[in-house]
Amino acid sequence: MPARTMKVAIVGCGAVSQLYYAPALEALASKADISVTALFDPSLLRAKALAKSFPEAMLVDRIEQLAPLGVELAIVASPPVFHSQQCIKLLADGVSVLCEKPMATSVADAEQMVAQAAESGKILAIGLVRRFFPALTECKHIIAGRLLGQICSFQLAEGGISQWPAQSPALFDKNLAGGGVLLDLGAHLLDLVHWWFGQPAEIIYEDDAMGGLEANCQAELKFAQGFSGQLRLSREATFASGYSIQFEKGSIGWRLGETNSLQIEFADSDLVLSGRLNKRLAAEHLPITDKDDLTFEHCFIRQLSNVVAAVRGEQELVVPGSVGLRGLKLANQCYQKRSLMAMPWLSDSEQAAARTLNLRRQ
Amino acid sequence: MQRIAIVGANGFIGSRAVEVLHLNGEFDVRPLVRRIGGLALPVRFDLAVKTADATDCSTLVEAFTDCDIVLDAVLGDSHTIVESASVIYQAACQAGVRRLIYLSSQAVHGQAPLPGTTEESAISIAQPLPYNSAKVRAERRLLRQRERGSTEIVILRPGIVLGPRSRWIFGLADQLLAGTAYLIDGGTGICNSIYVDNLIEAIRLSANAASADRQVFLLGDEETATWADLYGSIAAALGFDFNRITCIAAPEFRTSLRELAEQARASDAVQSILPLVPHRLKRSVKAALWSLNQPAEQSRWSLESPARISPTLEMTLLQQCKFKLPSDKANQLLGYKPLVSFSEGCEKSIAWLKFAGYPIV
Repeated sequence: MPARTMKVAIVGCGAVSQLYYAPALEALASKADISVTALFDPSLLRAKALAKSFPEAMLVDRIEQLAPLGVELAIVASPPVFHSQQCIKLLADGVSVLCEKPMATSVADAEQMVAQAAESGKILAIGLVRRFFPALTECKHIIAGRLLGQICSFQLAEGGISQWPAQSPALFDKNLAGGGVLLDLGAHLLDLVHWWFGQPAEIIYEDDAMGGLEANCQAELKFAQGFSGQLRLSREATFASGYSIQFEKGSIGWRLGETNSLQIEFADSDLVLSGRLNKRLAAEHLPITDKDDLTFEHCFIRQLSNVVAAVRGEQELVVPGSVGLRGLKLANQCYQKRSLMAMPWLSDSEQAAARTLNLRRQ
Repeated sequence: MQRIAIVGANGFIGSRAVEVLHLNGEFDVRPLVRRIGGLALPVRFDLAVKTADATDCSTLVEAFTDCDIVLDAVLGDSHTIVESASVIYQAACQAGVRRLIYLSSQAVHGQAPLPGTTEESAISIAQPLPYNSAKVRAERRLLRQRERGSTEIVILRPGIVLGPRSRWIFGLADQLLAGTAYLIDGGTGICNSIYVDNLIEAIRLSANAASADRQVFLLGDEETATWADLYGSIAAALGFDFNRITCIAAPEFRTSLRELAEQARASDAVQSILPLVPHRLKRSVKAALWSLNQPAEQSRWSLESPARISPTLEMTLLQQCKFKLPSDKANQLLGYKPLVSFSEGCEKSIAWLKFAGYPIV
């Protein structure tokens, strides 16, 4: 058992804190001996709403107040443009940080965050929860172990009309978000690309930003090993969301939202094996040890649990700042190669205007 | 440059209106959406996008400040259609907007209008679909409000609006892919189509046309297209054999309890007392009505395909249409002339389907 209760603060009390972090922290509180002691949000209304889950927590109006309160871990879930400034300050004050994705809006900012974490000797974790999905971990296992042979190609696609109950328009404000669907939803996919396949040797990238933030984007990623894959993201189109990877001896498929299910198709078979992944042993110190399925909520708790254990020096951190930085660099490389997606329903004059606007950097 | 506020800028027509009017540089466009999630499409542009509830007058007044024109492209249920139209007009008057362009629908004449129907034909709230009645009520309210208000009103009645993001396009593609598409009487009924760019051309013209105030305009494509033309076009794009689409005779419909309830809910009398009904009771009634319409479970021994064709009243009526509604008045008073042909409109719509990930061959 941990020696003492870890004091945790939440910086940014919007939708992700209310929907994910609050219940995860409540579920983990007694198991991991942590306590939410401070909340920060420029909107007192949002801070008070979150305080209903943590009545003991103090509402602070500056993040400089957190370290003196003895906070050891701060969860930074504010609009992306504030991430670097807030994380660097917290790390300099000796507070470890779990920063929501995307970790920053520029590579330079992210590099400063990583440097500050190293200088302070504190943990900088990035909220890339999909690293904790059993299905996606198993994909990594299959790829790395070449269980189905060499990779031939892949397609990663996620689309849908945004149902996210955002409480502020920050996600859609180009001055606060830093990017559109690529930086937001794409943070997960670019991380997986790097984790599974490595750094692409060549990138062809297109999106539909016309002076603002892209709602659609697609990329062709080519790798030195000779295979290539496609990435497609959308905030409007409702195509089938999921991932597919083709190998020499078969293929694997994953449908969005199915944290613990995977499909495997062996070459020369007409059938697809569709299965659920369960833990071999239920022996984790989590409130989920008596359940044999790993839902999204449980994965979120596992992410938080790993960060808490890493801060205590009990576990290796799964998603450190350097991992977030890698994904951000990849996003940046995409943006640097930006061109306008084909939108054939636009008239000739509209396409000409759209191309000009697309070339303008955010 | 004239400033136009587009209410419902994330909807199918609203989002295309933002694209056309902004990219062509003729208007300073101010998109308005109801919820934050609806910002995704309008924020592709560097525009002053605002969130505003279309039934909240004070928020709208602020959003309409300095606007010359307001386009009401709000989507919603019957109550929202009627209420938002009225509130948007009030707000436009208070903000000093010169002209409101209201997107009504040819559905005010029913889905299968009688031969000879024009803008002058009588319209009624006694309609088979609540949507039709709501549009009739919204138009009437607006014209009544215009008697006292300062903002001019132009009412547009487009038909089946096709184009990127149109439910008629992706809905049909979904049905074809699911094996549930159907044609009534072989698809020989007239599809009173209008490609979305043609509608936006009419909107553009309506913004400044003299003597358009208080006028109502029917709008359509140049060509007379049938439902078979539309289905055939989408089917071919998806690699389906048009001749294999199920053809049925027009089914008879009896008004279900759920539809009766929806019609009653949309009435002014029920709307006035709804706020007094406890939320829990409203939820229970809604759940009970929903359960009445659920199909019977299929036997586990059945070898039939689970895909079932379920003709809707709306589509049944639409596909029995025998009359091409005229755009003559719009042509004369607005100078309206469709820019995009039916076949070109289908091609552009199919191009969007491909963009949206549909398996176009």
